[in-house]
Amino acid sequence: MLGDAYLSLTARPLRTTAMVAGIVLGVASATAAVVIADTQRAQIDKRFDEQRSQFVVLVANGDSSQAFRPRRVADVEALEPVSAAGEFSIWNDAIPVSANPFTQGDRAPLLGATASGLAASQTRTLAGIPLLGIDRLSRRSVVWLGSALARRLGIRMDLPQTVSLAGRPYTVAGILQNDFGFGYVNASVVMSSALARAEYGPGKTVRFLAHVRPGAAGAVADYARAALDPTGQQRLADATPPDGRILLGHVASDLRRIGLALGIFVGFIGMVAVANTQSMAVSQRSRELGLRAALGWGRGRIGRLILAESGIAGLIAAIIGCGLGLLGAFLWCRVQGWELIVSPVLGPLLIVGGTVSSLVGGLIPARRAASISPLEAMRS
Amino acid sequence: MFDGVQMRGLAAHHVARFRADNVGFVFQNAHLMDERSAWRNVAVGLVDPTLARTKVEQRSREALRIVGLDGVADREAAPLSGGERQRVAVARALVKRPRLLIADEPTGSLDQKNGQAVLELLFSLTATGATLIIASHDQRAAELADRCVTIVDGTLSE
Repeated sequence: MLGDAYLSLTARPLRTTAMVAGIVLGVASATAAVVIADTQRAQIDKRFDEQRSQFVVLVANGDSSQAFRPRRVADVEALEPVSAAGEFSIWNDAIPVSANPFTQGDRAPLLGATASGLAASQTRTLAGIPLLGIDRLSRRSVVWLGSALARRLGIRMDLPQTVSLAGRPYTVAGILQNDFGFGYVNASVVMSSALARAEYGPGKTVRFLAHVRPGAAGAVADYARAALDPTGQQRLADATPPDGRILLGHVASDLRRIGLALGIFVGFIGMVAVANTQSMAVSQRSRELGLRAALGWGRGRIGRLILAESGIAGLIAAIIGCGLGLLGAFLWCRVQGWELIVSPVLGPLLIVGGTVSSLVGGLIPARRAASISPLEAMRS
Repeated sequence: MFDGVQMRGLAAHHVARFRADNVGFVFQNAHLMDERSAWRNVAVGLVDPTLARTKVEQRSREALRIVGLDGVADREAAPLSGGERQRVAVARALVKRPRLLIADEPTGSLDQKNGQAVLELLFSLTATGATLIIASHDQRAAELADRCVTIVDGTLSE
C-alpha cells in the first residue's frame, strides 16, 4: 500500500510538489519562527543579565537615622545567591564641592555607603585606597570621588588632595568608577555612611543594596526586608527593579505562540491545498481507481491509498519544511551573531503536525476515490 | 449465483472480496499506468495484502512470462506496442489465477495478428479450469468459444 502510494506520488512530481508546497511553507515558517523566538530569548536573557535584574534595592521610608545592623546585613550577605550587600544611600542630591575651600566649585550628589554596599553596586577603585578603607576610615574625614567628578575638579591621586564639601575639608582617599547601572557614582562624592550620618544627619534616600544571582532578586528582597527591619521601624520598601526574566518569559512565550499560530495558519492553507490537489488528482485518476475497484480493491483500501499518498507527501514535506526552517533560522542567527537554540521536541512536533494536516486534507479526496464506480470509471 | 453463492444483494465489501479472489478483467483498452513498469502494472491485479512484496514481484513476472512478455517486465508501460499492452493487461487479469475471466472487446483495439494472439492466449487459460466470458464483435472469438450467445437490441439469444 505504502509502496503503491509512493509510486503514485513520484510518477507525478509536479503535482506532488504543488500539493505539498503549503505544508513545506507552514512547517518551515513555524520552525524558523519558534527557533528564532527561543534563540532570541537566550539573547535577551544575556542582555538582562548585564542589566539591573541582579540587584536588590530596599528603600527606608521610615526612620533612617539608624544604620542597618551589621549582623543583620551579614545574615543577608551569607545567603547563597548574594555576592555582596550593604548600605548604598543618597545623602544629598547636590552638595557644594570644590577642590579649594576658597573657590565656588561645583555641586555633586553625596553618597553614604559601606564597603560592601559599594561592592554590591559593582563599583571599583580606579586609584587610591581600596573600597575596604571606607569602613576602616569611617571616623576620619575622608571621601572618595567618582572618576568624572575628580576629572572635573582636576583631582589626581599622585599627590595628597583635599576637597571641600559645603565648606568642610575632606581628604580624597581614592577615585571610583562604576560601569554597571550606577553610573551616577562617577559624578558623586562618596563617604562612609557612618560618617555621613554623623556629620549630615539622616540621609535623604537611605537604601540597602544587594548584588544577587540573576533570578533570585525577589526572594532575597523578601528575606532582607524581614531581616533588616523586623520591627518595621524603617518601613523598608522593595524598590528592586522588576525582574526582566518574568517579562522576558512572557515576551518569549508570545513570540513562540505567534510562530506556532503562523505555522498553524499556513499549515491550514497547506491542508486546503492538499485537499484541492488530491481532489483534482482523484478526478484525473478515476480510470485507474476504477480499474483497481474492478480488480477487487475494496472502497476502504482505495480510500487508504489516497490517504497514504497524502500522509507520505505530508511527511516528506514536513521534513523538508523543518530542514528549511532550521536552515533559515541558522543563517539568520549567524548573521546576527546569536547562538542558535533548538528545542529537541520542536522538529518531531512540527513533522507530526505537518503530516497530520496533510492527512486531514486527504480525507475528502479519499472519500471521493472510495466512491468511484468501477463501471463508470472504465466507460469514461 | 457463483459456486453456490448468491451474488445479488451481496454487500459492497463482499463483492470486492469476490472480485479480488475469483475474477480477472480484460478491457478493450489495456488501462495501464504508463509511468510504471510492466511487472508493476501486473502487480496491481494482486489484491491480497498479506502477500510479501517479493512474492508479488515473482508472481507478476511469472504472469508476464506466460503471456510471452518476460523480456519487457522492467520496461515502462508507455512505450509498449498496442499488442504488448493488451498482453500485459491479460497478465494482470490472470496473475491472481482467477476462476472467472471476463473480457470486454479484448481485441477491439488490436490489429489482426495481435488480436489473434490475445484470443489464443485467453482461450488457453481455460485449460487451467477457469471460465472465460468474452463480449466481442470478433467472429474469431465466437469460433473458439464453447458456447456463444448473441445480444440484439438488448435481447439475449443462443
